[in-house]
Amino acid sequence: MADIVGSGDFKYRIVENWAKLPDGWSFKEVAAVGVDSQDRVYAFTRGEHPMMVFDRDGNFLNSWGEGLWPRAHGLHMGPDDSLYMTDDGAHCVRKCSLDGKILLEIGIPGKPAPYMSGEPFHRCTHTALSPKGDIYVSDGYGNARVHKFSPDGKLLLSWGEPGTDPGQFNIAHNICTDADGWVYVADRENHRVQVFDGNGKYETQWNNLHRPCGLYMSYGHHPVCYIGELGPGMAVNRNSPNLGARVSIVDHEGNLLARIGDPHPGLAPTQFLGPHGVSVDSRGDIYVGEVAWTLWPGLFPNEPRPEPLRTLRKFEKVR
Amino acid sequence: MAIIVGTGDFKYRIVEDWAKLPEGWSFKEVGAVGVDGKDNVYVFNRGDHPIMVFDRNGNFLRSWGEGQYPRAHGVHMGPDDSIYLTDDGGHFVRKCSLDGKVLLEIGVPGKPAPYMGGEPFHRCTHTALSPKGEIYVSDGYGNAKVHKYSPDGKLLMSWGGPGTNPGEFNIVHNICTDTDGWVYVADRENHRVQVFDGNGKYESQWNNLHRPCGLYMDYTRHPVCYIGELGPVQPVNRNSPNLGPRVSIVDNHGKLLSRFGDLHAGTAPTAFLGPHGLSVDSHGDLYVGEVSWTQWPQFYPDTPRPAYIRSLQKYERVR
Repeated sequence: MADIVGSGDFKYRIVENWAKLPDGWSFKEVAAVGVDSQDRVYAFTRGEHPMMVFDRDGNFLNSWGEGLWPRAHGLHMGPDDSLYMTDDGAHCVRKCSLDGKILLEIGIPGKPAPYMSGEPFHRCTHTALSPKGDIYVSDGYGNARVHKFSPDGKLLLSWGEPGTDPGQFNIAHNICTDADGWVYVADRENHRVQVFDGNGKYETQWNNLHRPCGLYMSYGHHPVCYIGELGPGMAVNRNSPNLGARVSIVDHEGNLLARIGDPHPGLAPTQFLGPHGVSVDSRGDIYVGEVAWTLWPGLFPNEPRPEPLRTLRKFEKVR
Repeated sequence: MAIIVGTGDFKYRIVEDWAKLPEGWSFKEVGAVGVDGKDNVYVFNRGDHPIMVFDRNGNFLRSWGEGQYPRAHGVHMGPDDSIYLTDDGGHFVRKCSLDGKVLLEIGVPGKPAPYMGGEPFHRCTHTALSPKGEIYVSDGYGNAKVHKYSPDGKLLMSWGGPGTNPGEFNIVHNICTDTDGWVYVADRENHRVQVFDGNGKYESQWNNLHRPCGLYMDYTRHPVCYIGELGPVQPVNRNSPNLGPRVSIVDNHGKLLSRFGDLHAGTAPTAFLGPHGLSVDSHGDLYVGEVSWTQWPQFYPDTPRPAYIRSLQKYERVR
């Protein structure tokens, strides 16, 4: 019997061992996932093959990007099947064709802006697009900013600063948009998602989350939002149940619709370790990339890291 | 030159080196502070003399509790000048007279209830009183509960569980009440204060806080709340400015009125390390106890802890 997780309109069958990797290959870990219009799945990994492409049954199609991506972080699929890839180790964003040709580069690979200077980029994390195709970049670990660029990569404006007030960020970790132009920012260590208009005016925030890390919205009006939440990683609450790691599905106002994940992080099919990148295909199936390799020692400081760790999951929507 | 901190109606003159300790004595660090009806100050500390009492000019009056309190955590001063002491290392609450006579003990010293079992106590943190004198206990590190006791220590009810939803807790770290019977709980690692009615019905939450740790309210109607907030200690955000440690003063709906503390943790008079226990005297002067000894290695993992770190400071209200 396959495990069914979730609730209400959002129930899923867990597909174990979905990705069929070439012999001897490894993801190491998967930071982000994208799905193209043919439902092919792009796994942006921190292994030797930064981009691995699969069909919807998990058959390996091809890889690219070898040697060019020091630390995979974010992946956004444009409406024209272009890939926006964010590398926080290289401090750059690249728009690529589906076969890996670089169409646009923002930021200077290997050259971070000064820490918390507000200038792009210092460990940028993710991208999203406005209805006009402007590019939003969340930035990130070493800035507390969202930058807005024209479709050809010209900086238009930036907003945000470190802190906890509305419009301030404590690790701006992910970003997504809807067809009405609202901008949703995963303000990870403030345990919230902040919502802004297209020019950075604060609108509202969603609370009751734990370290919201990965966001995914289908690009429509009032889309639901899929949120990967990290678990408790501090010594003081590491053993507490019911804080993640998990995936939550909320409506466009942040109301919880369904939640997947056991009370504790772990290796069981129903558990997560670090749900960092989320994407949904045309059938509503969810792919979750996990930074399991990075998070393992924080979650289990006294247990050796298993090799390999499961870092890409598929959850097939039950109808 | 006097140093003035805070803004608006809540400005304070920093009184450095206020407490005059007997030669060779040390707080080690201060878990909590209380002020009695004569404005004497009770410093519940983690050194050899768990309670040290001072007059409002910082002159040492007496000490008590030696050997009786393994880990000072919370102080609440009752309206009848009884002092409620919470010891998270001993898993107990004691109501004492001002000279240290134990009038009531709740919990079994040294015997924690099972972790997250919901039964009192597992590293309980603080107390507050209802208008009828019932005793609320926040519990704490190893439970995610608030317990309500009759004035003579009979358990009446408990609420809460681990998690991030309204009514759930992620380190229930402090508690206070007002004369209308509202109960305010510092839900520390959920970065919020939750507000309940006197029987645990969720009313609202205050956000835009960073690890709210210590709460103080005058026992009146619609009191302002003084909140000690801990700073960022995870490697990922330890160097970020503007996340505390700091003291925030908010109105009865959680709206920020004044905030002080440097952009980073530190030992300057204007900086904090771990503002953990707060109290205000009849003049409006604020005392802040800090768990500096515990916090030091979290901020400065590579710098040896100095022999002396400030863990108590007075802030004299400027009128």
